Amino acid sequence: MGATLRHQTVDPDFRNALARFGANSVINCFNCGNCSAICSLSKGNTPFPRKLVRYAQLGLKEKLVQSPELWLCYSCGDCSVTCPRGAEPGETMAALRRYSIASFDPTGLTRRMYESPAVTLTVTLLLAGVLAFLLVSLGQAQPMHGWIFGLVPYEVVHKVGMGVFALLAIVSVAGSIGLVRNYRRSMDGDSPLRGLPLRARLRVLKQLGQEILTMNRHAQCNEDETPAPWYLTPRAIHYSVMAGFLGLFTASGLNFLFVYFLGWGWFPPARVLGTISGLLMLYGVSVSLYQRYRGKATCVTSSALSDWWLLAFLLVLAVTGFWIETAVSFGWAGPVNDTVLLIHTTMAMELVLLLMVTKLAHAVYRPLSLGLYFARQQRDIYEANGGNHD
Amino acid sequence: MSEQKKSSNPKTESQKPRIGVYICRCGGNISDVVNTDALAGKVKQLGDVAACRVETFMCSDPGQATIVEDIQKQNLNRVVVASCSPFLHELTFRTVVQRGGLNPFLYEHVNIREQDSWAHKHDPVGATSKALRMINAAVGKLHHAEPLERIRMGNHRQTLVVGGGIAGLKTAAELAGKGVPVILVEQSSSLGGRVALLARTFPREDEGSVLAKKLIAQVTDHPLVRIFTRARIERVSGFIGNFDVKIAFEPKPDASASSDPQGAGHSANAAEVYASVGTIIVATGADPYKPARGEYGFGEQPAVVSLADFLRQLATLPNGNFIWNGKRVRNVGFLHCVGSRQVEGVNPPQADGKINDYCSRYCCTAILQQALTLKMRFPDVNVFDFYQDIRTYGGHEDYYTKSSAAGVVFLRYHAEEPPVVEPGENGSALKVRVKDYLTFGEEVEVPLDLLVLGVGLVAHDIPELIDLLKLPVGADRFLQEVHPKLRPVETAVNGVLLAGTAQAPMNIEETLSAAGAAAVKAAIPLSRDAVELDPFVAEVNAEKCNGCERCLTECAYTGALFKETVQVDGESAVKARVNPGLCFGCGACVAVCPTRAIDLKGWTLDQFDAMIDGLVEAVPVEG
Repeated sequence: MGATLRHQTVDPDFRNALARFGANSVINCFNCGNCSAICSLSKGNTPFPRKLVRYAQLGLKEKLVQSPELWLCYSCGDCSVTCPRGAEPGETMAALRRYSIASFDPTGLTRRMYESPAVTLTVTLLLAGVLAFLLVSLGQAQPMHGWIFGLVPYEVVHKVGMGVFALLAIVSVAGSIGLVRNYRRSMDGDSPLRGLPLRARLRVLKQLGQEILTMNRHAQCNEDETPAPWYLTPRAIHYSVMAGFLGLFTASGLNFLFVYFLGWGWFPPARVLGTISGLLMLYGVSVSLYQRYRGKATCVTSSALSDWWLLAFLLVLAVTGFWIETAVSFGWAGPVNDTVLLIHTTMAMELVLLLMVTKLAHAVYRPLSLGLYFARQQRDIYEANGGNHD
Repeated sequence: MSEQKKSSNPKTESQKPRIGVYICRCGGNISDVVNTDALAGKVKQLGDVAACRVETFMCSDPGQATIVEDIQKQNLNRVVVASCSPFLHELTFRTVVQRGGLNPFLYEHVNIREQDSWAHKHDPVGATSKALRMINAAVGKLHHAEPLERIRMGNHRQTLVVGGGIAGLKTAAELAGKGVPVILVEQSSSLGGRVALLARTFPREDEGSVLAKKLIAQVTDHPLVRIFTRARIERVSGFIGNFDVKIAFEPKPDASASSDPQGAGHSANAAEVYASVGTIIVATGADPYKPARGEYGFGEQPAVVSLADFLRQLATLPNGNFIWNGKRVRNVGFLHCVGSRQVEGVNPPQADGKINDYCSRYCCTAILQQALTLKMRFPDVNVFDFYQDIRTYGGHEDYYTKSSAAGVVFLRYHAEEPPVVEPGENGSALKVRVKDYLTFGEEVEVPLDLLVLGVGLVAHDIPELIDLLKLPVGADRFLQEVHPKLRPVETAVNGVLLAGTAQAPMNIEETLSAAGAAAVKAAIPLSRDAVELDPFVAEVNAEKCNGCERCLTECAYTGALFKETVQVDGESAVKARVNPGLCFGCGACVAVCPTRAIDLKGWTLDQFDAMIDGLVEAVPVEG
């Protein structure tokens, strides 16, 4: 309650700033609320997108980055279709997420990447160049270690990899802390978990885990549309990308643990998981790209560079990954395969390095926000029951 | 008409009453509840009822023809119609009765729709019984009815218009166009009023002076319009058709001012003018609300200005950057309902202890017009609009739509929680703190460089005129009409009419419409040689009057009752007498007369007795 009493200063120029993140129509909104009414995920106490569009209209920046609703949205686009004023609430939400990601980056690099395609390309290419140079040059300095590591030694790849993972951990932890701090500030320093009994806390965890594994909330989107075949629903496509990503992430971890750390020759479960995940990723990303390209995806009305960037990265990673797997299985060698490996390794590192500054950051922010959302729900239930759980 | 009256059947007055009762079904409105056939059966048994009929629509041509035919063929001499409200059709049936050859006042109208079938939908038996009682009362009243004549008074075919703003000018121009001579009296030295000073008006998007000049040209050139400026009404007496007015003049500041073109029409050295007029139109206008010092920062913060000031200054600004008082302005706010729609206990009361709880009507559109103009001329300026409800009625929604499209940001406050204006920080002149209901009631703070107060209208202070003309004043201090929809420009004083914002806040279009309506209403009674008034006035029976003068103290209408000394049997005696032109027929004198010497024509005490008997007597009918 305390949060709503504290007043906020309007920023009249925020609309111009937001336009650079891709939201040009915020001013069209006349606060009718059709967007929130049509949204299957928007509930009484979380009336998005309307609430966030209004915050954006007035430039209440602090309120914006303190709103977990930003991340509850799966971007189905129903709101933009329904909007009687062409205010594009769906695109506004996407732009606000970009703004939010950028606002956690104190260097301002993220903001510049979102604002300018040239900066995005420059940063991407520059970073790729540096990583590739690092891999190649370090590789020449080390003794040869089998054909596949002729170009890049196994050691270097994994040491650099470990460094990258460490960096990623630091950046994502910092971003997550920023988000959580914002949420806490919006609740006047209070935690939604405070005073919740253990059972309710466990229920929050269970709900969160369920949602991550099933994406059930995503299934509620577009419920009025003529249903696509199950394998083409936005949820299925998004799910296959996410599952592929998580699967490959896990497979890499397992491989690292067993093959590199414990010194096993190979670890079949990781290989099987990696293959299945790679196929899922390839399927999801291809369909996504195709639908975006045709502009007929049920979930998109417009695509920003950051959308293409992420999908393109994932596609290249999946294709090169399979190439390498095939090459290893059939014992292929040669400069072409070496180059493919170099591209794959470079881009994988780059993706992970840039995790918290690209669209991929939602993989961190959405679970956090969902957790907060579920916790608030549990707290409301708890308080409605007069402090008696169940 | 008078010929008809003279030729009316002489037997009607003296003969035994033969009453025709006509019951209307009103297409089911009445007959769905009241059993009209059973009712007719009972009515036929009432004394002196010679004919009784039921019709689906009594007011239709065949229905009216039936009455005329019955009067002539069945020798009816009095008629009752039981139907709808007398407001709708009493006059209709009086005319029908007259067409049949009877005196139109030998007619009674019984309202068995609004007062019976509509009110007792769920009790048909009771409603039928009530209808019978009401008809019985009317029949009883008609027993004692006398033929009456409308009062005819002489008529000065000239109208006095008080106020030379656009309402007065328009009324004068319209009246003159109808051939009615007009005396236009303006207190100040020039015509055109407040509109002449406006830098921009909607929806014409030009200066107010354009309209004012056009209207001024219409009246100054017209031979039927006499204009008196620097003049005021000093005395009024009389009644409709016969008002006597004294007009006094302010002394001119100096003799050279005689070049004033509007001053023409009266001799420069005359100090007063007397005139006789038939009707009077009050078009004294309204004033813009003046915020109290400190109200929304007004008078304390230089960056808080009223809409009229903003309008004037904006019109003079060059394009480019928006510079106000030497400073570049980036954020402008408009605040609606300043001095309007106030809430008891939230807004401090006005000088008379009351708050202005009415809507001033013109301001929403005027504000949005200015917001839009500002946004069009200076697109970089951020405009914030603090409103309660946007009321851009009358086809002006466009101003809202366009303002919204141009990027004006709206914030909605509730009257109970008006915005708070405070000195600004970080380079902005002001900040407005408001609980914004478009942001779910969250409090936000808007930094502003300029705040424009959309001030409403307040009644122009005219106590002398109100006193002179006995003008009714509403709770909002504006002059009051008889009925806002049915009689929108008439006052309770017969012959005195209202035009424009003297009556209520209006925009220019509404003012001009009201002025046109007032002109028509003022011209109607002047179109005849004499003014005809309803005959329902008090009458003193001089033989019974003992000159106690109780009625004189009771009478609320100056001049309606007066005493005169007459010679009775060689001795002088004081008797009360009625001026029928001024009497309203209220009956206050009747009630206090100890000798039953006063009666209201058409509503005599005998008739009241008969009506009460009729209501009590009747036998209920079975549904």
